[in-house]
Formats: sequence, C-alpha cells, structure tokens
Amino acid sequence: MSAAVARCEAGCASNLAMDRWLMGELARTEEGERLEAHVRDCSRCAARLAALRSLNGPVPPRPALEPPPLNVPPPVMPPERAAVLQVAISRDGLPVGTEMFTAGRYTVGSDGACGLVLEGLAPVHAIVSLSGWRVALEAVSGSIVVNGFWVKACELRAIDEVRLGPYTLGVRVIAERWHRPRLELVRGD
Amino acid sequence: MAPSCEELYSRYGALVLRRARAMLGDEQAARDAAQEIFLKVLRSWADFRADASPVTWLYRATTNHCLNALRDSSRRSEAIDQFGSRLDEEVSAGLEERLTLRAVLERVPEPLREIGVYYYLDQLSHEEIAQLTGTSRRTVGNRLVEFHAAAKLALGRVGKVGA
Repeated sequence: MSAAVARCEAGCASNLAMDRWLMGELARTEEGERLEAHVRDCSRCAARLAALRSLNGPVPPRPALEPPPLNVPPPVMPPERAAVLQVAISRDGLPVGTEMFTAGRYTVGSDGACGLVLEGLAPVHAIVSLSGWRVALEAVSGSIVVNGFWVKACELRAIDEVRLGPYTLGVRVIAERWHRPRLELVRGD
Repeated sequence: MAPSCEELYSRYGALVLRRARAMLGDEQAARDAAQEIFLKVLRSWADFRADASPVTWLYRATTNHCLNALRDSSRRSEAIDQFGSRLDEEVSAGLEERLTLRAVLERVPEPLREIGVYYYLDQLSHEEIAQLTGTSRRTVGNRLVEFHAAAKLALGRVGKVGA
C-alpha cells in the first residue's frame, strides 16, 4: 500500500467521487463544483484525476435531449436561475476565443449568418442549444466527434471534448450574474 | 427500462476492469471478473433505484466480487506462485504496489477487507465508507485501525501501510 494507494490529504476527493464526476453523475451539483474547484488547487488530486480519466478511457456521450424547435422562443427562466453557455474554442491546440450564449439554439458554421462563425467548417455545420442548464449539440451538414466518438446528436457536459473539423470546443454552463433589485420603500400619505 | 449489456459495458467497463485489476493483480482474472460482474448487474438491474448512482453500485459489486474471487483458495495460491516467479524478472513500482495490496487483502480477516479496499485503494473518507457499507463512522474508524494492525502483521514490515 505504498505510492499508488497512498491517500491524499484529509479533505481530498475519493476515487469514487472522481469516477462519479467523470461519468457525469455530479454534473451541476454542489459536490461536483466542490470537486472541480478542489482539483484546480490540489496537484495530487489533479494527477489522480488525470490517471483515472486515462485509465477509464473515453466515456460515450449521453444521447441527445429533445431539442427545442428553431424559431420558437426558449423557455423563460427566472432570473436567479438563468444560465449562460460559455464555449471555449481552440484550433490545432491553440486557443482561439470564448463565446457566450444565452438560452436558445444557435447554428455553428462558416456562413456569416451563423450564431457561431468558424471558418473552415461547412456553411451550417452543427447546431448548439442551451435549454435551462442543459446543452445539446446536433450535426447538420458536418461531422461531430465527442470524446473520440462520432455522434449525430448528444448532450454535452463540461468534461466533454468536442471536435468540429480543425476546432476543439469546450462547453461550460454558468449562472448569469443577477442582482436582486433593491426594494424601494414607498411611504403612503 | 434495463440497459443492454453493451451499453453498460461501453460506459462503465473500463472503470470496473480498472478496479478488478487493482484488486486481483492479474489481467485475465480481472477480465473474467468484469464479465461476471456485468452479468450479475444485468440480472439484478430491477433492484437498482433510478435515482441511485450506477458508479457507486458498481463499486460495491466489483469489491464484493473480487473479494470473493480472492477468497478462492486455488486462485490465491496461483497468485502467490505467480508473484514469486515474476518478481525477479519484473520489478516495477505498479506491480509491487498491486501485489502488496493483494497480499494484504489475502491475509487480513474477512470483515475488514471491504473497508480496507475502500479506504486504501479508492481513497474514500470514513463518511463515504459508512454510507456505502451501511455502518456508522465509528465502526469504520475502528475497523480501519484493526485493518491497519492486521496488514502490518501480515506484511511483517512496520510502516508499509501508511494511513
């Protein structure tokens, strides 16, 4: 029970928690967020997570959600729950930029009218949608590879790696900053 | 609806195999164990609650199955023989660690093994082990102290097992 099974410090994440996170069981939970934050700070846990990820291999993406139809306004979320989709784009391993999207469906492709314009892809390559806290991606006239698997449509999680042509996308859903409006006291006469 | 064996295996196969390999220390035995675990899981899928965690469920199933496999005396002697013959030709840290874990698991009293696996192999906290095994945190703590002492005795080397 030496190095490989030596425990991290107290408060570190267990292999079970890491496996659950890698399998998407802790998505959008407090436990998942805590683990993600801890792994950023703890090099031992980060190394262990990387080892488990590599030993577990690629996890097949989940089947797609029923996508909302185009041109139909997305469900209205109460402001304290409104979510924003952050898409980090890199090309050939180099970061290209980050785009933010509110709830709805967006086309991705080389056409100038697309919600996310990426040169070198089909005019309308894919459609990405954010509904509540869930993100879905569907192929239109291009191919999509998620975690090494060719997919037609799937739900995306923060740990998924999406490849569209020469681009690699990472998605993350974050809460929109919302300030509760201050109540103004109105004095009656 | 019960998922197909293929669906379960493609999603969780590597995870189960990884843990079986760590516990049994033998590739073929681990592959056999993984197959048997998935067959058992499919048979008892009806008992699985939809809101429960499949990963946690598979952790328990794998641990129990591999501990039963280790208990099998023929496999135990075969494993020890293999250890002896391969030790001279192949000395790698990974092998040594796996063999040490297996050697400990073979020698500590049975009621302590499951908790030892969760604590040392899977890095679970006392609280997580208590939840998983349906015991109290105090019981987990006591059993770990016993496991630690038994493992030291079994290995004959003080300080080999670090808590």
